[in-house]
Amino acid sequence: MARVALCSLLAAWWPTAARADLYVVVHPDNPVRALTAKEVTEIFLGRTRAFSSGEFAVPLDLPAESPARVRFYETLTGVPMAQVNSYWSRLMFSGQVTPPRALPDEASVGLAVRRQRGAIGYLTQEPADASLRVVAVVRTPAP
Amino acid sequence: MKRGWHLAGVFAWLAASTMAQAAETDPGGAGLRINGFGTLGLTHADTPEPWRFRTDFVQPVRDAAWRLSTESRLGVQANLLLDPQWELVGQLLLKDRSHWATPERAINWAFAAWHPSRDFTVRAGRLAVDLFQSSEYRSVGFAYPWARPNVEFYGWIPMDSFEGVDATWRFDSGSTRWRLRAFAGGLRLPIGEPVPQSDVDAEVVFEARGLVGATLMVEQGPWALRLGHAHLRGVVNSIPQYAQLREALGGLAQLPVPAVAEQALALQQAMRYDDFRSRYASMGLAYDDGAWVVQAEAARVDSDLPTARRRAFTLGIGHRFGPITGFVTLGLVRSPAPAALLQVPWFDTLLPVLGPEGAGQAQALGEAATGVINASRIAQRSRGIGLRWDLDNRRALKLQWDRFDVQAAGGTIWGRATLDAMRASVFTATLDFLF
Repeated sequence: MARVALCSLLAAWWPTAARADLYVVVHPDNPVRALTAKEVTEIFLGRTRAFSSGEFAVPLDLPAESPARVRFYETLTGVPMAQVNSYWSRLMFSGQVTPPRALPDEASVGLAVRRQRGAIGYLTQEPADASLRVVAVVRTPAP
Repeated sequence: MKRGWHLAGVFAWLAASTMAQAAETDPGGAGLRINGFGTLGLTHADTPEPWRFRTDFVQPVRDAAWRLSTESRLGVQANLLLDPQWELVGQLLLKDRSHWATPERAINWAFAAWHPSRDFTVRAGRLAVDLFQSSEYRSVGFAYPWARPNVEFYGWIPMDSFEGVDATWRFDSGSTRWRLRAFAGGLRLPIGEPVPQSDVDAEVVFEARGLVGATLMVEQGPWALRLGHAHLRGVVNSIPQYAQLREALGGLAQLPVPAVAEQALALQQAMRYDDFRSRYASMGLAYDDGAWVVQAEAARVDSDLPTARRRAFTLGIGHRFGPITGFVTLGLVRSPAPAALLQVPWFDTLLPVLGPEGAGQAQALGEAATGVINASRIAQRSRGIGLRWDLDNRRALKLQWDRFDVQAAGGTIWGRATLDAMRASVFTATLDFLF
């Protein structure tokens, strides 16, 4: 929680023109309080199927061509989206891991995370109420 | 049993289709996912007559110099996530196949996967053969920098998939990720094979019984090391012409002329296609730091069938300049068993025993046997250079030029190969896409 608070503090302090933060959110009943960038990456790249608590993670994505999605993956991995898709094509089409399910928009992601305890998604706006818990903030370049 | 596996595969596919409607409405992550990949590929091969370029030895022989059929393919995959622990997967792969291939071969994989914990997965059904580094995604052009997985490495493996089970265990140790997988099963693959010195293709059914193997993958930072081992019992149905040849060799092996009898017996043993055991071992090393991409792999196949023995090596090095990747490739493969030759002239040696007619028939028999055996040998190398241009996040254009050098009695991967040495160049342009 302290880490999230620190991130939020920095987000408030840094010039907003250069960045567009993404808020990684989970269900409020999820025992996970905070995730590192590495843990977020492991979940969204299919390298782990569960949170550190052991609960199965159900990562949810924004649509394929969403600018926020591109910024999210390029920031986490440090490589262009084409390489991320190449990585996923190796895993998915060999039947090993399925990429996160893409929902139509952020409202759908928020709704799905509120409804499922293991769900995890990311949003461009910090949630206004306690029905979603922010567990990490990914600082991405401004669109 | 085999039929049962096929039905299980089809069932998985049908289940995925019929449950789509209900599953699609679940916003919680479960549900049906349809994704696909494809390649529109054009190749031009500059080969001497009568040779024809193929990327693997079960690909049908086509005559046109400019061809779309060699590299073009379309794959569609359905993943039905029942819940975080259970999943059904089916993949259709449409590509140019030999007329011997049965229609159900288009079902590339069809399996049920169970994830009982975060680190452990068990799958059953028709699965990818996890033999070498790129085996599981060799048809997905977008997944690798080059136009195709190296022909010297992947051109002599007849199987894409097998029917059985695998179990995968993943775990981390510090910053190192480990993946251990064991698999067991079998496969039955109808393929055609040209009968030497004739214009006909014989129907050949390759069966791998008791396919058992394991792979270990270790990843740390940009490095990935992969070790693999597998063994199988191979059974190929008896081609009538070969059976007659083996029977006649058996007769010559009874002659009181040791120089000929011993070699006739050796040739007969070398044609034991109906029952042989092979062991595959491989070691691969990959590096990808975002700018440089390197893949190297070595494989060794030992078998009690001499012509099934292989030594292979492949290396690909690429460098990314924004959306452009420039690359070079290298491939080597050889059959360690020497080309079959008649050690002594059978006609001259047998003339006093069999007379001119019998000695002449024996000589022809020996030459036919060495021809058949040598037609299974593989000895070639290639080097290639090319470019990949990522047009966007889901489409890539690739251009590649390869030079192939095939040794005498080493051209099994090629269509209409002779026993001569051969040099060829192949130009390939592909558009790879995901959807």
